Amino acid sequence: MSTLSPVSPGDDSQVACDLIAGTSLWHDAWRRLRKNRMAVAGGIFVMALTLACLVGPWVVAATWGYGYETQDLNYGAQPPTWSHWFGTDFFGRDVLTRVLYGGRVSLQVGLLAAFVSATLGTVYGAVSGYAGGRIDTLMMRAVDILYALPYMFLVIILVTILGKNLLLIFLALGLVGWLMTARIVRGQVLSLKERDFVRAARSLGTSDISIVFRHLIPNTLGPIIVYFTLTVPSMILQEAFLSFLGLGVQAPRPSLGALINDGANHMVVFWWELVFPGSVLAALLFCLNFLGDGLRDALDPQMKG
Amino acid sequence: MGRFVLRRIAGMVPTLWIIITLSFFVIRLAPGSPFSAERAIAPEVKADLEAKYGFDKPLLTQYMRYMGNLLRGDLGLSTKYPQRSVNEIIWLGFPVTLTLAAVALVWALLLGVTAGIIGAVRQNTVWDYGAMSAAMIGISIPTFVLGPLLVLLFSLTMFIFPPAGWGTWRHVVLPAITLGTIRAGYIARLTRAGMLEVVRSDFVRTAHAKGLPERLIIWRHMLKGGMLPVVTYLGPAIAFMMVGSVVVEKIFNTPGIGPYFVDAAFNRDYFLVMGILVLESVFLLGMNLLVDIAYGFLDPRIRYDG
Amino acid sequence: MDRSRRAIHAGFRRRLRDRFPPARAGVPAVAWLVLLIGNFIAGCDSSDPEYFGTTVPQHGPEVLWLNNGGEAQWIDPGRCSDSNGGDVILNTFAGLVESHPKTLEPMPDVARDWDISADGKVYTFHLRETRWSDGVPVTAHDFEWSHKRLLAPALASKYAYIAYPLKNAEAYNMQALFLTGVDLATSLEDVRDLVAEVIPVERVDISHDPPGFCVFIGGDDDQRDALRKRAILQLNGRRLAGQSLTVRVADSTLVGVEALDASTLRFTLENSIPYFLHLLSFYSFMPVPRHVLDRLEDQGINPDLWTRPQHIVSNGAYTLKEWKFRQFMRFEKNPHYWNAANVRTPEVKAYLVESYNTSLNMYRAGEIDFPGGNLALPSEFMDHLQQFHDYRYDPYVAVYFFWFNTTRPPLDKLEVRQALSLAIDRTAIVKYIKRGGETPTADVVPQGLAGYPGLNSPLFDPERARQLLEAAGYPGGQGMPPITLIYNTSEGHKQIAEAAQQMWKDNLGIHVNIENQEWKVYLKSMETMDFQIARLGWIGDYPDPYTFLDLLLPKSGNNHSNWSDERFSELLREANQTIDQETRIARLLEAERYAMTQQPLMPLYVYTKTTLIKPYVRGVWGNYMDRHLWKYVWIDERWYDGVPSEPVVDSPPPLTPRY
Repeated sequence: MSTLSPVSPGDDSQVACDLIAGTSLWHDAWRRLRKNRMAVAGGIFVMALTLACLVGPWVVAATWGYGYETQDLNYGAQPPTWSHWFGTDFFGRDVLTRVLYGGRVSLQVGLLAAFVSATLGTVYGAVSGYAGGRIDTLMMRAVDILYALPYMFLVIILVTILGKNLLLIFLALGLVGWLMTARIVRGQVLSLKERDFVRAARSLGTSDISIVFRHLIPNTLGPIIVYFTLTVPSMILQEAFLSFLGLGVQAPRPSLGALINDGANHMVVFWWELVFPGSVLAALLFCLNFLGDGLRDALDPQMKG
Repeated sequence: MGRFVLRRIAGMVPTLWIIITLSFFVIRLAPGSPFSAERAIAPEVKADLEAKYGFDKPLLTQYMRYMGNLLRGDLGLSTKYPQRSVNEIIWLGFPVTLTLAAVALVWALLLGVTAGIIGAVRQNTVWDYGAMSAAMIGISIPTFVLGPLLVLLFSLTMFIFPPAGWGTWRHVVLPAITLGTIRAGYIARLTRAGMLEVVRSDFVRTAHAKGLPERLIIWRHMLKGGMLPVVTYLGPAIAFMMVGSVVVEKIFNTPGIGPYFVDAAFNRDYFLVMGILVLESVFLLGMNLLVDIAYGFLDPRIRYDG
Repeated sequence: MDRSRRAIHAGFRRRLRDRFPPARAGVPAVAWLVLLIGNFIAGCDSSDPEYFGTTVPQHGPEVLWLNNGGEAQWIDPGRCSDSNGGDVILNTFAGLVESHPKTLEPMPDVARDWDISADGKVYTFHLRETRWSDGVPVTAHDFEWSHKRLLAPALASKYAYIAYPLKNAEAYNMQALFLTGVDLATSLEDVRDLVAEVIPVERVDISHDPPGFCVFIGGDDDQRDALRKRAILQLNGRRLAGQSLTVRVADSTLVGVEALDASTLRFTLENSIPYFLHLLSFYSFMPVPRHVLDRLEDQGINPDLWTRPQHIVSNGAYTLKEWKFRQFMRFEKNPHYWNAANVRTPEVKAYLVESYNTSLNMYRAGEIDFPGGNLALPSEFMDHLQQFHDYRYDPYVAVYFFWFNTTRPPLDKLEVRQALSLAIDRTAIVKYIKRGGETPTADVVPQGLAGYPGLNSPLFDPERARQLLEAAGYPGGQGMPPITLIYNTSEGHKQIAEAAQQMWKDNLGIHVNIENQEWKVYLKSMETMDFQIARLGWIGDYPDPYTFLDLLLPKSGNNHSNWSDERFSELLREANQTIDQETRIARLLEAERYAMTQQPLMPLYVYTKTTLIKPYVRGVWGNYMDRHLWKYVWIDERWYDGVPSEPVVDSPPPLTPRY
């Protein structure tokens, strides 16, 4: 269910390219990104949708006076009208408000889970790469073993058994995603640590921790950001996947996946409950993917795939 | 080569052992028993049932016994389907899931490779943008959105394909499309990127310089280059399809093994959960190995030295 | 079929034109795009707006397609405890009596007639000459063996308790100790004291024929085997009231069912229970082909597999021909069924679809004719589905209620429980949430069961509820300790829990937390009484008030209130020893009234079964038990040519005569 990682396992050598920070790097990247029209359009849409998800429920509440859980049993399951653009569900809840609110939850989960996995992966990869030798072999061997685990199934079993809570979902999703980041960062660090500026820092007596966090990690930011942007849609998708199976966010809080699950259950009668959240999720993923592609091309032209 | 395969297989054993041991104990942490139900069962009856499944023994004994049976290929009895063994349930369901995944893979390859070739050959034209946007759309529509939409359109509106079930080729079409389309998107992008990589390489330039016809260049050199990342991707693709089958088989009520992941865990059908997990892990590890071997054949630069 | 498809397509295009919305300014373009797709999809509902989905049969008139719910756990009458398996058994096996498809009145099936003794405790059945589907005669011995098998401890049947009305049945099933050699005049207390010296005792019963005492063992579940052995060892030969004891574990010879000859079967009951004939139509009392199990055993095949299509032999209207795990079961008419001449449809294909959603999709596409009784329609669809002619609902013998854990404060106070009950507007819940024509009720027993008048407790009285709350010491909800209502994860239960939460807030001013738990976790909480208020639905096993009142007995194992009351048990015992039906009903009513003054639970409504049935399917009548035997069902062939102009007169069959 996850999106393909942009870098396949054998690509470390490609990543380990020259990426010493310099003002021109970020400047060039920005210039390249702006030239990519699809990425810019995607970015604008994502920002618009994020904004809509943030203020939308509030605007709807101010204009029509209902929140995502306001029920009106006498006005249940109505097709789209002027007062309810996306129609209402069985409880008379406004589907538009719920989609916006669900989008907010999905974005939150996606960003947070991607952040968890990026942080974990970066630190692990940097430590492993910097330490080198037996420690490195051991740590990477662990990653290899973890990589072979059928993750989604373990997550499903964990969630069914330990109960559904948001923290667990973050953790589970984050745990799935960090392995690839760790490999990428390690590859970068391996090549960076033999550079002069690191040697210089070491000879000045800078502590190992300081070297890793002050010198090495900042210099691997490019690929990390690229991988992060590509992880976000994948995380959103996986959260939606879990919610669709009834294992995700708890009602009445909607996430896009939970809304789609409801919609799929009701589609034989209420098509709008499926079509709207489904389209919004697809559009969101579409734009995030384009944005991620654009960022990758801009920050790291050599990464292709 | 042989040594490489043996080493890899030996490397799989600890991974499998970790998965099995971890899940065996984690599942037992969950509250509730496989025999609890709305109506109370007499204590005598419950004790008899527990004895039948061996749940009356200490957990460690149960674990040892399970591992022993596992080595002999016995996956135990299901509690949800009391007259079936887990072996029988898997034997009935796994071919269905495999068929579905295979058809979906063929669909994904046909669609993806075609789109990829179009994109690469007509690079930076409307064709390219169209194909790549279509691929991106394919990637962005999750199976659980596509599946219900296809049912709505083709089963409940046009009455062309049955909305659920299994048995004839007509039952395979919708779930396979649902499962395969998202992979087709990735394959298209991989094919295109791989082919373009080759375009820049010296031997294609040489071929052009030699005045070989365009079509020949595409088919002989570029396609081979384009296939390499696709072959690497087949392993993960099949893995993703196994995960995707959880949802797709639920939507289409396909009698494969997908839905057991959730249902068996909910029902505390301990042995069924374990059986499915073992099967899936072995299958995935095996697929990865196959891909590595295939990669070696396709790319002569790779050597498997001990 | 082609014709119907063409009609569908024409309708689809017409509707597409009608529904395609004109573009309007001011709405974001994306939303409109999405709207257009949505309208395109929804623009083509069904072929006939009067019906939900196709109305032309997608199969020939000789076959019926239905959904039997999920995969059956067992279709072995002795082992089955799930309704999916139960429905298959009822259609493939024939018992002594069957329920009339409309009125549920017991009528002869394999038995052609029966006599009941004056005290109502002895039933003698006279069997027809009938055959199993392999041609072997069905005898009274088959029935005796099957019923004893159902009770056999080794079989560990979850539904063995259904046969407990038979004399000594419980003793045999629970492996009680049987003490003989003691004067029957000895008091139960003396017997109990004697045995209790050696092992913990739960209860002692007297048996007159054969004479003796049944001693039910208490103590830990997993130690009972050891206790049993110890008791036999130490008590054998002990003297009581001057006589020497003989102790053994109760065996099947004590059970009150006996074949007098090949065609006569006699039941002896513990008490006279007027619903005994109803009970016999339950699937657990269907006969099991002993000769098949024996043959499998001889051949070295696991006899548990006797219900597989290649082995199964049955004596009912249909036989199982094909069983595709989790897909479908295919049945054919059994030519050896004694009443085969009246079986209308030769073939039945029963799908095994668990999800109502998939089932509805298949129904709409015409892949199934009847979603079957095991799937209730979700309340979300009620408003929409009610407008179609193929929607129907019937009252169902099941009650939805909240258990109170009467030992957890503040629910240990009777007034609090009563206040909580009276503060719920049951009519509103049924009208706005359930929407399936359910009956709001505050009684445990639904009205009209076996002529039961019903208690008619007040449904809703917020004023009185507030007074009660004040009397309990919490005026206006002041100082009320926290209360939590738990329910198992499900949209339907959540809706009711949320509504109840709101009503308690509005009418009593108290905040009740609601919490959902996943099913197995929920059952665990119920079992260990780790809750304050918990929802449950109870489905009656037979159409008699006792199936609900039994629930409140302390040892039923299903009483989740920690409320036990000797007086209530006594009232029920008295009622069960009453032969006159009217007096018995009055006793039962008294018992229910007494229980409800204690309010160990608060009922909300009596269920209905809502379903859809294709208009071409005839011979399905609503009844309290939601029992629809396939042998009565047939396909109205006129629907192949479109909607027929004249309605069908489709009256239920008369009672099968006794002779």
